[in-house]
Amino acid sequence: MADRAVGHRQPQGAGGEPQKRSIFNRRTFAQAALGTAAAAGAAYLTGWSAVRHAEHDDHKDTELTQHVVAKKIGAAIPRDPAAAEWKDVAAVEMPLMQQFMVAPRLQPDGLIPNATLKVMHNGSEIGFLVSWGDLGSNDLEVVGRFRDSVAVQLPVDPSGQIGVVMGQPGRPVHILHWRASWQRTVQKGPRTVKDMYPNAVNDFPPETLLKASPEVAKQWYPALLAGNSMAQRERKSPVEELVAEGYGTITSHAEQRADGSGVNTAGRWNVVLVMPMSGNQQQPVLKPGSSTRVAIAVWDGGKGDRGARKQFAGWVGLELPS
Amino acid sequence: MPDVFNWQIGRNMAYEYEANRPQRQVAWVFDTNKCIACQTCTISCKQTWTWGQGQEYMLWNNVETKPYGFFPTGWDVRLLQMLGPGGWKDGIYQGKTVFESATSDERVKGWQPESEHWAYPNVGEDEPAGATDRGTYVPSIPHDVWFFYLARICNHCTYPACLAACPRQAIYKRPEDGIVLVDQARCRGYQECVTACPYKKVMFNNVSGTSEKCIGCYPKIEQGEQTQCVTSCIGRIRFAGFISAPGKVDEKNPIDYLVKVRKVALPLYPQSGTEPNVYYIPPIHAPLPFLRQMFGDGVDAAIETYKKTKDDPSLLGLQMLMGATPKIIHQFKVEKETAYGYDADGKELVNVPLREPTFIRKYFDDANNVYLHNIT
Ligand code: SF4
Ligand code: SF4
Repeated sequence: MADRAVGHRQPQGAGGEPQKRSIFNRRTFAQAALGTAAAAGAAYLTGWSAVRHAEHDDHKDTELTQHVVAKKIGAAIPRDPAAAEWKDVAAVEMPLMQQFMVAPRLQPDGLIPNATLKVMHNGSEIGFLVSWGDLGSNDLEVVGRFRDSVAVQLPVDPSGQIGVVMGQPGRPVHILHWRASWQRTVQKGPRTVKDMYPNAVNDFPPETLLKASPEVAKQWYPALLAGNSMAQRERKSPVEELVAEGYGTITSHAEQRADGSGVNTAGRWNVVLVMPMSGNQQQPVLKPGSSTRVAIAVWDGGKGDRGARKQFAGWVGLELPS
Repeated sequence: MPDVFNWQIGRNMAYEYEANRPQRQVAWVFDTNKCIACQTCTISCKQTWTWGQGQEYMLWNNVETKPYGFFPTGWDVRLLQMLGPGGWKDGIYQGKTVFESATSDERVKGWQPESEHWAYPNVGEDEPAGATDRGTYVPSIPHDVWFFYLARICNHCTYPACLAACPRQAIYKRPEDGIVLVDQARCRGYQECVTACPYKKVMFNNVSGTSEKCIGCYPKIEQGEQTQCVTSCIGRIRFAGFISAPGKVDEKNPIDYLVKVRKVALPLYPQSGTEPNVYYIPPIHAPLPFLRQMFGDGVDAAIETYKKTKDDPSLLGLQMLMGATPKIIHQFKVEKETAYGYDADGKELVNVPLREPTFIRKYFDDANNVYLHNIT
């Protein structure tokens, strides 16, 4: 009861019964995508997809026309986008389009025309370097302001076709998501209200007044209490690993392994995102000598991009030399 | 988009989801005539729910002065501008709702406040419409120089705009009581709900990175208690309870009686289309054109009925029951100069006299050889 009282959330209902798309529904893709309530999730996702995927199917590729070849190296993948190793990797230019399939859509003003992608692997880790022009660095995530951000997406199962925007029901995609605000936390420590309002004072927040009972004080931080990665105070990595099975389903992975780093220089973001090539059944297994596909998305926080308001580049083939 | 019935605008409208009314819908009645803007409600809410870091600016409950007070600044002026001229004909709203006026790029027509809009919760406080001079005398109702206080919380709308706007369904309406909540485990901080809510009652937490909103004190509602803002109200202007679905009326239910039977309590900006569930008794002294725009075209009749409260035992009884018990009054009755409130099981919660007994003392106390200031 105590945690319900301040948790702003109810305990999950008994899983299992198929749900219809409804005003009362809370999506439970965390379980669905991770396979623990696949049946319930799948039934529900179908309802959603009937509405949302109609246009989506038109955008499925039939054949990949562009390919990016990862460079195999014998050392650790450099996290620093300025590292010399990245210089000799061939870049593939990826034209960006605005997300227009589902509302909220992106307004067509001030679009970023393209991004470049470089990929490197060393047999155990794979690294992506995405670079795009963005004159202002937006690393605050506060009232009415949004952060710059980039995502790299791979199918969990590389065989066959798969919807490019967030995958589709039964065909999950694996997403590496970097946010400038998380990069800021990695570098400058936990965010506070002073990041935005330097003179703000909160003299008696719960953790001060209830110093003797930190667990009780936590109840005023319901997102933190609920384990939402958005509310995570400390960050070692600015990259989050997620899984999605269609629009609106993106869910943080239980297991977080990704790493990376982003730098904004001379009006360009250069962001490295690194993850292990081995994974469990919900994560892609990337074997040297095999091929898969990759897509990217970027958000210009200064323009108000977030969530579905984004630009993306369609699938390109990804070759992983042995 | 599904077509749903909205009783407050007297017609069907487009909404993101099928109509699906909860088993019970939580609802409030606020009497604007009695609010003194003491902000006790605001503080009791703040102390209960929003004193954490990141929530500094949040006031899930706020009390603003109309016409020049707003939190966030200009929220309702912007809403009216966005919707454009509407108008009512035979109880049917002729304009567009926030759902109907959305462009194809949006799910809901909205306005995104920036941090400075949240920075002045007291803007326009006690500022009257029109100038006053020394010796200004306001002889008639409605007043030509006027202001009034508008206490506001989330309306736990039947068709929440916040819920419709969330691209990942992180907002949901509880089937058991209609309370609208942001799932703090699923929210990813897109602030789409903040932009969409016509009443600006979802707020972004600067530290947690998620959006938060009034939770209707659901732990209290679940236990048959009225919400913090109601039980703390000094002016005793508020009721919290449940409203019956359209087409159904329970005459013994205080909320139904005030909203549906006597129609003295009206929704705030019903033209938004969200079917808000906080119902206001309009102020009797403010000009009617202003009030019609704010509460719809039931205002004239509501004010006429309300003005006769003194001689109307049921309305008077309900006035006396406001703030008389922390419990939700599910049923009431008035008998022989006494108003009674009952819980869901019909157990009496409280009884109050319709009129407080009055004693008038002599203005001079002979025994103590002193004049008395307070003689009633
Ligand atoms: S008032 Fe706003 S926040 Fe509350 S339910 Fe309605 S749309 Fe949502
Ligand atoms: S506590 Fe009651 S009287 Fe005081 S400001 Fe709030 S609503 Fe008005």
